[in-house]
Amino acid sequence: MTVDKDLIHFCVDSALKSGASYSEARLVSTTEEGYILKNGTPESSVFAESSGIGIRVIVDGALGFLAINKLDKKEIASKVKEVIKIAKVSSRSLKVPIKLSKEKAYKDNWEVKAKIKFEDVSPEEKMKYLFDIEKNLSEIKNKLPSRFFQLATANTEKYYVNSDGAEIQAKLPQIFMYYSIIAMENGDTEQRYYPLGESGGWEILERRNLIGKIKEETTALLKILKQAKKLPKENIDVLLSPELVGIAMHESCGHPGEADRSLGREGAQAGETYLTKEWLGKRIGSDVVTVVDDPTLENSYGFYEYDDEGVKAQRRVLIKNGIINDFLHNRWTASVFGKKSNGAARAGRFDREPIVRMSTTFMLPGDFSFEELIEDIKKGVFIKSYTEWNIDDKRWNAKYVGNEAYLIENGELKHLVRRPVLEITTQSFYSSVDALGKKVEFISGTCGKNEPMDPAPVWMGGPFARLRKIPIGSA
Amino acid sequence: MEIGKYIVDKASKLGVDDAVVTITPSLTKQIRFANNEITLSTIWDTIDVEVFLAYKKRLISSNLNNPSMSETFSSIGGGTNLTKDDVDKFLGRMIKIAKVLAPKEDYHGIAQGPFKYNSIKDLHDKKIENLGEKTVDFVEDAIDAAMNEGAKRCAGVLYSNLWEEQKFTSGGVEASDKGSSINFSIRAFAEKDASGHSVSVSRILNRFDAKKAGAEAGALARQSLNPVLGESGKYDVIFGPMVAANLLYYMSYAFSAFEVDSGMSFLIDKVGKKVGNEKVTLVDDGRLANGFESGMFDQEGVPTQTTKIIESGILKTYLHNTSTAKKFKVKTTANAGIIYPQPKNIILESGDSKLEEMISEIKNGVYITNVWYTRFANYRTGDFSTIPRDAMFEIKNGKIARPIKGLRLSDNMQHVLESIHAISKDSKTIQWWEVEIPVVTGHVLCKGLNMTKSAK
Repeated sequence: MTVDKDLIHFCVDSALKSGASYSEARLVSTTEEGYILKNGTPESSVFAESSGIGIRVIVDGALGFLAINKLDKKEIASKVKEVIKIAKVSSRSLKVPIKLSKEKAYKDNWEVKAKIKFEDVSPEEKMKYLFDIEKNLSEIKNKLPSRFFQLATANTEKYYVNSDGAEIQAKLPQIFMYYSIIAMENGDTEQRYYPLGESGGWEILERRNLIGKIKEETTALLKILKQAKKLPKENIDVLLSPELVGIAMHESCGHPGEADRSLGREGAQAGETYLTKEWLGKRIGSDVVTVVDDPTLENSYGFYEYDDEGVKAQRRVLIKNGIINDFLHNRWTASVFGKKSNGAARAGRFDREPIVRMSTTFMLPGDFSFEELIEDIKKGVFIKSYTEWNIDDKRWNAKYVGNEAYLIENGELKHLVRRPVLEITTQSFYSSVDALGKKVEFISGTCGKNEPMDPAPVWMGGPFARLRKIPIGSA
Repeated sequence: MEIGKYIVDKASKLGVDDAVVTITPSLTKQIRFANNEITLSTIWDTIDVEVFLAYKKRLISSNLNNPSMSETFSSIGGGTNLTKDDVDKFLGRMIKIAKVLAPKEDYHGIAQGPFKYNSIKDLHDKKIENLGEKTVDFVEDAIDAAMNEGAKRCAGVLYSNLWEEQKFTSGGVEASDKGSSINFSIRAFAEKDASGHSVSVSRILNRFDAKKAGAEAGALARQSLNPVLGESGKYDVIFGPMVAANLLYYMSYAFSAFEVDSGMSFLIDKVGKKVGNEKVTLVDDGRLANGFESGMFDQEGVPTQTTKIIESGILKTYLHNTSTAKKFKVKTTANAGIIYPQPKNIILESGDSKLEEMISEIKNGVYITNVWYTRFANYRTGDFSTIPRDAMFEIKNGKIARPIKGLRLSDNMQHVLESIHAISKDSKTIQWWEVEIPVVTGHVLCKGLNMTKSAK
């Protein structure tokens, strides 16, 4: 892509000339490829390009946003005027004018370099990767009525300018791989799906042994169907894998810690949160629980060096030793809270407003080995992977349904248990954690928020975590 | 218009078997609000050119992006400024890619036209073009209506949308359609944990009523003040229209021939079989007057139709495009998605009941007015759970006993259809953040559903 810098500056200036007190323009250009193999048959491949500009303005204390892919100065200027006009009218509803926190105006370039560029790998090779997964399952294929494999690559370029003087240019290659499998034994079925997303090039798939993982997990599904026993509901210890800890960190720490949610701005869509400003400094969990959100982890799916308001990326400590420590902020929420932004503003595409989003949300590790974590569990359940999950819109009542899960008796892993359901409140979850594994692992996800929906690539994770005396049983 | 025809003709000359070009200029305006204040006003001004190509059963979905930053597009109603040279280069690149892709052996082509299209009532309203500041008035009036009912604060969104769709296919289709819509979603909050949600969804202005939606949301917020924790158990459950719509939308994947073919649908091998109570007739209507997703043709250019998916509890058909229909040896139901057939407007046919009658016949039950986060433990069986948000009530001995909170509906989609005992006479269109495909439904009473809650 050739970035027409002049056009982006024109957008910012045009808004100021039309009466905006603040303006920013963000050009986003993306080249995507997508491949699907469904039950051994390829579906339509996708080769798509998009580029457009998102322009955000503040006028009379009200916020306006224009998304346009007709990259013509006359059209842009006319629509900017229209947005400013409607924002001016809407300002009559505001009790307090919208302000952004004062931030250093960085001028910088950042880039994630692909070791093997997507454009250097032919569509044939990309499709072959999916066929190789299918081939590796050939011996058990007849017990897998649904096999769905998807691969997508994207190269995104951004150019961001705001009227405070920030100017950031970025290049980001990302890969996404998803699989979903349904296994069947005697008419009984179980499903497993798993997304993998990373920032970087084709080398990611070469580094990760996904083909082996899929075979292993599919074999486990068949074992679940043959061997798993129902778990009667009782108060026992629960050992969660990094996958389970990861989804819980995203749902019951990251989301509730989004400051815009706390201020009610997402109330009619992604909902609100139990966390108000008054929770800062109060206890939600045990001392061992520290949770951070960090966009700077190398290769992470939600990686960035500057957010979509030009603020430098940084690690945010959301829960520190069991105490609520911070929120995720953009420049607006930061100004309401009377502090600096911690750089959490993101927009997935040019046509979405940058709002507070997570990047990589994870629990920091402890110092236990897996063996040490289970050795003093008299009776418990180890949940390795999950299938269904959900949480209420205050982020208080969560449910995680185990997929591959084992009974623990007297410090030893025993037989598989079928779909154990962990239905628990956020405070009970964090208060019940008493020990953590040494190593953090991550899973990938696509986070849903904003109106219209703006899927955001994220990682989430943590170590193995032991929770004491939790009511749990099979569905 | 010319560029679409040129792409199709040129693709055919280059050996492409099927080509579908869709050009969509659109102008969308949005007002978001929270805490009774307008938080954002947005305009989307875009034109998209989507291209589908089939070359010896090798399928490509692509688009033609604006070719260079300095070139211009004309405004809505016009076309793009793409040149023949841009198109030639694009097609050359795509065909080169197609040649190395593996074939989809069970691809059976697109529809052969041309077709005749009959217009549909109430899909385009010129008045929506020039609403200007009135959109702010709509929002403020709705907030006032909610506050008058007892709400303390409101959040939500108003969209107004105008678009054209130009369609060209190698099957002889050269067609265009245009539409408008205005839709509003409002969530009203009273005190802590008391809230209500309602929507107003229309293609034309005189069927749009933001104020009514505001009043409904406000009343629910007031009625649900001071909820207590509910208890797990089997209940007779009344779904408000937003709940019924959510579940019908989330189960609609199972109607798509794509998911049946994938092995993911809970309706596999069930055509002609009983999948719901005899009171259940479920229709997909692409031609519904004032239907939010109604239009004259589907993505292949096939004239839209009305299709009974479930009739008196019996599954009649899956939803098809031309290719899946050929594979399943049936006729297309005009639900392309060239790759993924999907419903246009899902309609649960009205019954003869009323909300009050439903409540009066329940001994021990729950009335849920909204849910979100519907997720499947197993798509193949339809095992799912979903979480009520907003007003929820316990029903005891034929009466609303008290507002409750903290429960989750954990059940199975086919069991939900089978347990439907009554459907109300009145119905409305639901479409919002959680329900992307519009669903027309009223209140629904289900017998014996499983409600769970956090044990700790």
